Amino acid sequence: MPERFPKTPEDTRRTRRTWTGGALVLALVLSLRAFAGTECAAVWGDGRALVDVTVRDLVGRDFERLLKLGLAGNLRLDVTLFRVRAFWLDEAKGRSRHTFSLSYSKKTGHYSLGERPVADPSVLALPRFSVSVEGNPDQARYRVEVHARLQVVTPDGLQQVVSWGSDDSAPGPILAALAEGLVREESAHCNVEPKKP
Amino acid sequence: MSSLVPLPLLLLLVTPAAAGSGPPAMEDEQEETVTPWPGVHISFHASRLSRCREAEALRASLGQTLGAVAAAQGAPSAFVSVRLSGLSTLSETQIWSLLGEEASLPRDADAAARLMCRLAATGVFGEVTPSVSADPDGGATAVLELALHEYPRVVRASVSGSVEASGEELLEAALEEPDDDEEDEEGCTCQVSTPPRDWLAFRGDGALHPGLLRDGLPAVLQRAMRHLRGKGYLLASVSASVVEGTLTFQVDEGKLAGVDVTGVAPELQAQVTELLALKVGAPFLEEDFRAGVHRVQARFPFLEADDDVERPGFDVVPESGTPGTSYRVVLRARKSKRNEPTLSQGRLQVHFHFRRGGFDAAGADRDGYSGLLTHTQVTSFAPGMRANAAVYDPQDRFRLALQGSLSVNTGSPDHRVDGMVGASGQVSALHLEELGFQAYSMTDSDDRWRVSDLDSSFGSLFLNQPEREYFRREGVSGFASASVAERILLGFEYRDDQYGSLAPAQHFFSFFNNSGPAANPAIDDGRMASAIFRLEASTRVLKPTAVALQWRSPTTALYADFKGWALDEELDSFASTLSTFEVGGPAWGGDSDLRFTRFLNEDVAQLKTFEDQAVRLRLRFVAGHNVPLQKSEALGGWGSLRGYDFKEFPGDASAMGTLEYRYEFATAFADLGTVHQPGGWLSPKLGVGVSVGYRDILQLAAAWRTDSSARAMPEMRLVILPPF
Repeated sequence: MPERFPKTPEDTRRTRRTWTGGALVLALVLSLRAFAGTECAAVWGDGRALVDVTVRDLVGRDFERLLKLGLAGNLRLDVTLFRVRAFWLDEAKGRSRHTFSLSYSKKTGHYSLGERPVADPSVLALPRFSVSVEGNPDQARYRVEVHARLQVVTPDGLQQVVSWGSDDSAPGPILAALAEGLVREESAHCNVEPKKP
Repeated sequence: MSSLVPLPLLLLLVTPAAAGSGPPAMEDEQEETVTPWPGVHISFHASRLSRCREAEALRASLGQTLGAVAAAQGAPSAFVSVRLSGLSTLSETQIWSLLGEEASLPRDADAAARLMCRLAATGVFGEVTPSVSADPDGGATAVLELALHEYPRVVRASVSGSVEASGEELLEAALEEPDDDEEDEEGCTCQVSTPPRDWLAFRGDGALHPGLLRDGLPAVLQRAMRHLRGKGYLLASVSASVVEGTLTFQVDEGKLAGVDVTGVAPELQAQVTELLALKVGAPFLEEDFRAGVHRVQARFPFLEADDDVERPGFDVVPESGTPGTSYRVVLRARKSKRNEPTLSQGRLQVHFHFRRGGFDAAGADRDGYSGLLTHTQVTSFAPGMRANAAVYDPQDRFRLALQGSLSVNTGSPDHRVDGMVGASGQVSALHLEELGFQAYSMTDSDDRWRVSDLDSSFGSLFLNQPEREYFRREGVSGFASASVAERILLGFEYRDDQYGSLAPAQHFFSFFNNSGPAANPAIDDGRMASAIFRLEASTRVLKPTAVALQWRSPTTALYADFKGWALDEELDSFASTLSTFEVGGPAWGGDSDLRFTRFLNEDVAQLKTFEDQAVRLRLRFVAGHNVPLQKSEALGGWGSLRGYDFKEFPGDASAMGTLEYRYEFATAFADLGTVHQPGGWLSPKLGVGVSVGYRDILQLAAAWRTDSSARAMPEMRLVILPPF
């Protein structure tokens, strides 16, 4: 069967460009993963796991600059409660999702997470929330897995910039892909402990 | 002989609140007026430091006093010294050392007022009461005497009553160190001297350090409340007392007495309450409510509610009969804005607003793709727009979705415009996910399972590698699908279409390979009518979306999720399956030479092994009889058999398996596939490769073929939004 796309010098140049683009993608991915830290603590309370999460260093200097320019960040927390099983994969017994908007007020000079003032955006102490157990919790060990995802540049935010002089108000696919690339993520996990005294 | 100067007017009581450094008695800012002695009024904000104003009032009062002393005794207008009294745990030396001043320095009214302010601002005195006496050594000169009343000293602490909140954390917060933000920012003359930590009670290293209660018991309660509310316990209340050096907290996190939902049809009340998932009888947490509202809105997009609960106000009031040693928090309801969620008497009232419909001019699909940048070898650049509209029923008996799309094919004069209109209804009582139709005249492809729309367009626009072949399809379709237990979908679709071959675009442009449009073979033209039976199932909940209206292909799932690590989801374990059976011919209304059958099965399973790591397995099998060219099977290329050329292995049946291991942003994969040709099954072909990138959004992939034509240089592609 004949080749539909025979190899030409143009193909070689194309391959080089693809490598360069790929290296940039990889560098972006690696840089976004660096230096973030999330802490999680969970205790039992009345048949539900109470989870406290502190997200550290997810807002870097670049994101701070974007926030101060007026873009709002979207912090999303996906939480899963697992029942630990020996010699087998842990069983997911409950899930919850929490979203917070992170913004900066030029008027007051302060950051806020939802309605809460934030003194230092590099330390985001989130309000306590609960994850209920499907069924009744037994004596097994339980653990909580937390995934934090901060997106400062949303497709809509990019569209806001790109649409100057244009009537198009929809965030297109390129913008969505670009915005998805500008995301910082971090995971943490902790055991569900008995309530502290 | 010393003589006491009778100055009954000078009975100035300086409390920290009057000096502006003390704890606010109320949570809210309130203007209060005190009358320290007749003729002098001091106004202050209870919740805000305003030492300047109080210093001014003190200065004026002390100036009056010194003037009176001077007039009566003929003495100069200054206090020759200051005496401190009333100290119980601290010494005079410690106080003067903290302030950095001396007792025996002459002070005019300004300096005396500043000194009193500074004493009050230390946060260790509940009262600073001045009086004036004649200097026993200096005859007619005046001495300022300050009676100091220390806040209670605490040597033990206990917390009781808490169900969920940690007593240790509460104590730590209530006895926390002074916050610099609380300092006066008005540039007052009243300089604040922070007392050494050793003087104060605090919690450190898991134990209580004995000391004075900074700012007094009401301030300690304020800090305890701030801690509980910071955690989200909006119904919490606390009381505290200090008896014989023991600080005792009684905590009530505030149990939810009930939830009142309004603005929702009675038929949906139970579901909405269940989605809110607020446990009556358990302590109320603000964030649980917010997450619950978001769950409701995800399930019922026509219900809108404010997710910020109006916080009840609170006052710190002394317990009757125990002045100064026992206080408690009293909650008070606030007047809420219209339809704002409120907490009253332990009950949560939440109001939802019904939205009749919605309109989305972008018409973006599940991948956020709106069709704006379509580029193919038969249309060249084909900018287009989609629009979605939705109509809702308050009782959610049905949902109506309308969709339309229009695009302009810049490189195809024969078919300049593509268009589609469709409508679909969802009837929850019948578990009917869709019942609708569409009419279209458009450029279509049977290769949508290989790469995403966006990937194909980018590949065509930049590299002239669309990884698809296209044809013209004009006609109408009707369809109906029902779900079982939200995880199985059974569907039927009838199509009556006129098919036509499409020549490569006459005016074609591609950025980095503009050597003419990619090949687009001819198809079997004619009228094709067929019926498609569909079965989809997934361990994930099927997601009904309007996207199902647009590109309905027998080779891709409409509802079941095949994404390994999608844009908006966590990496998890799942399994999904898709089976379609299509039969066409004259019995259904089509041409007699377009009589065919085709069966397709595709299964994807993903097993999360560790955090951000997973194994993925994909199996795909297709077989048919007399399948027309536009639906014929072929393996090879991105999305099918990676490392090989696009559709390198045609046949009337194919079988393919893919195994991948994903480690965070890196993936290793192997594709194995074979096709059935007239001579029998081809020997299996293996392609291997690796990719790096962000989830299943953007991946740089390199793939090698392993047959006799293998090369060291891999095939490479930036893969955008891979379909599986």
